[in-house]
Amino acid sequence: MDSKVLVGGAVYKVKGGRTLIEGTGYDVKSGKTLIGGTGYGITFVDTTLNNNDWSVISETSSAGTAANYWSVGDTKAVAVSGTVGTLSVSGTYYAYILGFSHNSTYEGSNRIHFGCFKTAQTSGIDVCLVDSKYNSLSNGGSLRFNLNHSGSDNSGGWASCNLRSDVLGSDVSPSIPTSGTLLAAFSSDLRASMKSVTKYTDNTAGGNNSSSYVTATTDYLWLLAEFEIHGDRTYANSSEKNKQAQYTYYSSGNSKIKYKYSDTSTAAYWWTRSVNSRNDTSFCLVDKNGSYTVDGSYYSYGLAPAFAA
Amino acid sequence: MRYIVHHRFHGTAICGPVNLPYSTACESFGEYVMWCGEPICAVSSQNAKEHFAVNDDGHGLERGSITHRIAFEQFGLREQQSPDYWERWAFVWSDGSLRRYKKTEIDDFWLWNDLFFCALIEELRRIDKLLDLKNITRRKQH
Repeated sequence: MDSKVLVGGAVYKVKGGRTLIEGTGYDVKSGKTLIGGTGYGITFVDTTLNNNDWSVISETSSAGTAANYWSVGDTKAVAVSGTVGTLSVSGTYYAYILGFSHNSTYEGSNRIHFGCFKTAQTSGIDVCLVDSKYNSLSNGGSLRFNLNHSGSDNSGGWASCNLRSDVLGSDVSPSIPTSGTLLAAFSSDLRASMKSVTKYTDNTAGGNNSSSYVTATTDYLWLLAEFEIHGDRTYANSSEKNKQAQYTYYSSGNSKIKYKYSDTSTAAYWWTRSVNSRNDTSFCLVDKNGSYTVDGSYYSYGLAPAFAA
Repeated sequence: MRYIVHHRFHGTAICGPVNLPYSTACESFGEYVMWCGEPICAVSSQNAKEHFAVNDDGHGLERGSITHRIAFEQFGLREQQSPDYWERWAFVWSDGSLRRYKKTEIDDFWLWNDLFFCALIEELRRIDKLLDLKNITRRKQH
């Protein structure tokens, strides 16, 4: 994030600026300087998150200073355009900060974790994406918002579920997103700023609550786990919480209720990535009241994924 | 505006790595908290809320202690499920004068806004008394 300027042969770090034009003071937010024949851009960070480009947000995050500028719950516009599974989406939605350097011991440091989505920069409604099969089963192989498109089991958990790869596109680099995924529907400037995280989840499933089932995946666009939302465990593998942390956004008391993006007055069930450790067919959900529940992996429900920059 | 550190800030500030212990005096310039002329963080940032409090009235340490306890200290399900806990929140909801400290985004959840973090100390003491989180914390520890 450092910008530098050369004065009298010495290089100085530029930390901000203000200029006076016809009696009015203006903040200097960017500029250009020449050092040793090379031109360098000068970029300052705006304390309103939405006023910054994704590249600035990502650089600030990498420098470990993001929490010095912004706060949990702050929002940034995300342009979404494309087909996600079978759903055509086109619009501007707002990602919001879930936490800074969340659970960095396990997941990676110097990252801002963002949740998807709110409907506006301020006073927006928490929404999830829903497709035309919402609240009904679909196991015919179509790319619906169900974790298992063709069967009825939860075998392999989050790591192996269909939704992770062919609807979200969480398992590949954002520079080469899988066509037809939410990741591919994100703008290129956002994708260029996205960072991977290491997520620990029950990736075996099958109805056995074994600690050895909790393993790591590398993700770019993941669903939250039961513990990351509630700060407690009801149906998920009881060992997931050992390598997870509740997001600050939720521990601060924010609502866990999400509404349909297409009908913002109707609350929706939304998926987590945690399997139900009590059987071999279902995953954990958040219900319309923001509480714990589960349902079969072949049911279509809301998607409210997260990503890091 | 004068600020004071109410919870140690040990980390990377805007100006670089710092280690500012409890009761370190700071000030604000524009929209930034400054220490020894160096920018630490924006006054509206997460780090400002968690570590620094307005201290123009000399009550910054108490202000920070109260806002931190109310906004950031965690309570387990057991505490949240106690009728006592919700009864105390009901006092807050029913006090119209406290609405100015509530974020307006969500109707059914009470989230504290930026005004709360620099509220008059008398107001914060009143809110603290209404919620009585110190006693809930004490019960949790036993």
